[in-house]
Amino acid sequence: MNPVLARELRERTRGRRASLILTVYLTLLSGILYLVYYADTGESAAMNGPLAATEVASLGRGIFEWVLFFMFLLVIFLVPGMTSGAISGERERQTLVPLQITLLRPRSIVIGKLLASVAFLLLLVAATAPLLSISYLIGGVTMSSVLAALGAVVATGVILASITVGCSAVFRRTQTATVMAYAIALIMVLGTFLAYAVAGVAESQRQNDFGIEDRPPDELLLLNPLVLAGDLIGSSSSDFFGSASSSSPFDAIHQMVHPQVFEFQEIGAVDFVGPVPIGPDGGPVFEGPGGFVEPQQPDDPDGGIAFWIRSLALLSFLAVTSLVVATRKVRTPARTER
Amino acid sequence: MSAPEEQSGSVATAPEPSEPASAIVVRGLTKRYGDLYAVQDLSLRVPKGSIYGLVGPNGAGKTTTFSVLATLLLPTAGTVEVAGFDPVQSPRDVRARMGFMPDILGVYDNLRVDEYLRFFASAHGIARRSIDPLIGDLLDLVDLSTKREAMVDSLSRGMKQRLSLARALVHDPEVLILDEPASGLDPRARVELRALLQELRSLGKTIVVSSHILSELEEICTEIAILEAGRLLVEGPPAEILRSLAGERTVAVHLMDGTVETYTVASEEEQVELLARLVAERRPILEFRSTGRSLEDVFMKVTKGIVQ
Repeated sequence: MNPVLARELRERTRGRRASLILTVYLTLLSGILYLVYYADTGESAAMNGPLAATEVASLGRGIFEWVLFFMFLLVIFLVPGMTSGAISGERERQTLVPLQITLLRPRSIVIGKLLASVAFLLLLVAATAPLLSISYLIGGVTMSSVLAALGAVVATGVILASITVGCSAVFRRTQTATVMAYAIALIMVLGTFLAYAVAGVAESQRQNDFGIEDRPPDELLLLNPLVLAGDLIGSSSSDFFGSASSSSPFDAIHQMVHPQVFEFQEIGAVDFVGPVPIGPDGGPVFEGPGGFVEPQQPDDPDGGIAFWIRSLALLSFLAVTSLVVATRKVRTPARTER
Repeated sequence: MSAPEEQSGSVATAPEPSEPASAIVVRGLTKRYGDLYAVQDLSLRVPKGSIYGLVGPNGAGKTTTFSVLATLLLPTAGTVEVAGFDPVQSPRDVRARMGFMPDILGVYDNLRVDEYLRFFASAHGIARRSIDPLIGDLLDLVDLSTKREAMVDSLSRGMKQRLSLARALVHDPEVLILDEPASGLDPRARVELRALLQELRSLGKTIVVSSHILSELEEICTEIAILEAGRLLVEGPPAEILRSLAGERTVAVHLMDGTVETYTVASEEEQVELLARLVAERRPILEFRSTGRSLEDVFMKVTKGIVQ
């Protein structure tokens, strides 16, 4: 076992912080689940009595999306804070030098730090996996969607942790590293949407003359783990039983990304009958009433690699680059001291 | 009667070429940060089995020199050899043979003394089964056996210093480099540290220590180098330095009427002659005392005025 990881696990589990974070995290997600359940069932029961099968499926899908959405938010919120002290904290506590003069290789130090952060992340995800699985028990969501969603959460956490470890090695002070890591996370999650929206406005103005509404290049969204997750859970579940409630978060994301989503609703209704084909263009998923439906671009019948694969590849590249930079920063002898 | 003392320049001994009996050889080491020279053309030779003291005021370049020796810092120019290996070319070979204790003690929260040592032992690739007896031995050596299960955070400064020393010894290094090991220690802890260093030397280790207080090192070091402003001023055994630099000494003569006369003599013989002459002159001598003999005075003389 990596000595740095072993030490970190011992240190982290000894303090009260870990159990506190876990408790808060679980409480929040359980609360979200309860709210969604209460809102959906309460609403329907008041009007129609017992839920119809499709309504149950819709409830399951709604719970799934909301719990997943908040899992994402919590991971994006927690990981930079948990990881930003990885290297800079050792510098600040003057413990990095004794570590650098051991026989540990710089990459072992960096990987140990990353794994310590990821281990805690896995604990969080494992603890909340049952919450996500409730939606599977209710219906409307396939097991593959649940697994894909958990995979996307873990991948997002690992990628964010890697980028944060990089920040922690590049910036001398933990405070700076924390701010930078959160800034990057914010750019990934909100900045990409903003860029996409701005590009969308520009695009619609440019193409108005031809009377064709086109969407901006989805490359703008490649850095966004939420879109990645949306694409993954949309494309991996081929049997939708119900539609998500109209206010489900991924639906909202897609409406934001694709203002013309209503045009696809009828197409979605048609697709709903049979298995939904994976979008050949690999673009970000659209959500029609039939759940996540990959829009068919008539002018782009076989667009190549799926969006989530391209997104994951780009994010992984960034993560690896970040770890390489961190390793360089930890390596000694260096040009400047400590 | 008396002439104010003038120090006649620095006496830098020329470094010997690398000999097999050297634990550390430094040749022409220079470290520059922009326009600032932290270390300038420094050459040293640390004999195997010695306790070597690096003395100088703050900013003299001691820590920078140690950082290069400890495989942490790249030199601007010059070559260094620690236990036969170049810290720049083969840092891992040096790390396997060198223990380093930085001037600031980094301590992990939430870790016990034995866990702290276990961590560094495993970071040095020491086999799991030999770690436990090793920790016992190390804690015995630095007299912390009773603190084995205490939290590192709760230790006193002297104890942390000793734990840090145990940490530096975890892989049984040939060469031990200690940056300001006595700083912040109470007198008792200093005496204990001194005894500990002697014990380590008897185990065959070469020890390099730094201090800005010469008297801390005077008694334990077999060799001393005095640094200032990144340059070597003197190097050699304390007694030798004393002889070469303190040949000229001041004698204060207290007379019965309360006046004090000071004389400067060039050697012990001259001092004897001076006393004989004064006695022959029937001067009312109450006290005849030579000053300027301790290494501290040499150090004060040698380092005067170059660094503020």
